[in-house]
Amino acid sequence: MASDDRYQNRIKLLQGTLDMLILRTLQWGPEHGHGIGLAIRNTSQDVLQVEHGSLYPALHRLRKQGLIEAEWKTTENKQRARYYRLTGKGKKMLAAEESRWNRMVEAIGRVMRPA
Amino acid sequence: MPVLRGLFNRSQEERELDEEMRFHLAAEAQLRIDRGEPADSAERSALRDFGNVTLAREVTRDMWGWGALERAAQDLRFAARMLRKNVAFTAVALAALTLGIGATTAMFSVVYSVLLKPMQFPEPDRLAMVWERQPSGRHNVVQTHNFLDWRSRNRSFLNIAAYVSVPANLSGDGDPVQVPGLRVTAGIFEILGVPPVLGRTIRPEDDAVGAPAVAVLSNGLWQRRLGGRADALGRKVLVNGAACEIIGVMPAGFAVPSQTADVYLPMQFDLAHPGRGRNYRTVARLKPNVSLAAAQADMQDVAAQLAQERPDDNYRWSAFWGPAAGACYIN
Repeated sequence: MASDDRYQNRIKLLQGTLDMLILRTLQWGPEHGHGIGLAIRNTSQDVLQVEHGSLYPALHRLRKQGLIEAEWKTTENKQRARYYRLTGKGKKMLAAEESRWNRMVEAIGRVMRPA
Repeated sequence: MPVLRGLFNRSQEERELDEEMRFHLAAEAQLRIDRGEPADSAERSALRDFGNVTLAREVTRDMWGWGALERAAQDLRFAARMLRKNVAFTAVALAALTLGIGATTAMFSVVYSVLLKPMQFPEPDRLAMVWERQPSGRHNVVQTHNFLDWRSRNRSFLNIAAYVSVPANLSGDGDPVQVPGLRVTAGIFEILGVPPVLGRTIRPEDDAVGAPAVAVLSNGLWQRRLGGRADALGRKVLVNGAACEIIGVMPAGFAVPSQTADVYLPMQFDLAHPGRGRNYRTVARLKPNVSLAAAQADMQDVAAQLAQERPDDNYRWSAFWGPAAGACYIN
């Protein structure tokens, strides 16, 4: 299925980063899918345009890996929404991802702007 | 059953995913309306931001590990719909399948019962294959001289017989052909407990050197070569150039343990020059009141005597046996 491949390629491109961004967003507390998308958009000051559809496969993947947990709750507007929360394993993974990310940024920075 | 639970959770998961996505789109649209966007444009923008809803659902579903199964089920449902639509085609295909399977089953049933079904020898647990035992402990086919001494000295068997396969070139009436043949000592058919369907089997007097040449035929060869006629008895068939009188025909499906043959000839050991090679399989039937263990001990005694008497051939050799029942498939 050609359209499938196109979509999955896109997810694959984003995958590592998107997972990290989701975990990072959840560090501030449980949030539903839409809230996660908003937070990424807002905190990146609209630079990172995450196609919201790609959030859900990522959320399910993270849930399958045991990095996050899901729970149905009611929002302030009395709507049912599925909230996601970091697990202990997820917190550890986030820390690891973060330090890896920092090392990478540092290394790329050194290459781009040699001292 | 985790599989079943997975199946039921399945639709639950799907419902939840749908609800989650619906919530997402509604929340996004509301957000835009709050910013002052008109309602219909807000909904469109929400959808655009989300991307392809169906694709997101499918990719997520694939993650649950049911994607391939789901697609196969879809294909099946499609096939069923198409079959229902083309009634005539379905009827013809179904009829062809029914007839094909039915005919094949019927044919196999007949072939199985007539040709393939293993035939049990009477009282197979009283039958045994007797082997020589190498110094290494492995079993071995039997030497002429040793077989003759086993036969005359044992106290456990009603009888013991030796056999060896030989090619049999048939000529005379009909086309010359080579068929599997078997040289057997007298009494083997009685040991196995299978009488001929026609005529008689090989007697001790047939098995003496210089006796008139005789042959017992398999049922298959009798049918193929002699048309299954009763007057085949007494006729001559040329086996390896020697004219042998046909004295008997075995029932369909008969074979000695582990060896099939179309022509059975008397062994006619040359007692003056028995030879020292080990060539023969032997099969024996126990006397009614003798246990397997007693017969085994008896054979070891006999073998020990032979090891002393002919150490050149038998030093550290012995005899042992295995059940023949397992080897007695017949076809």
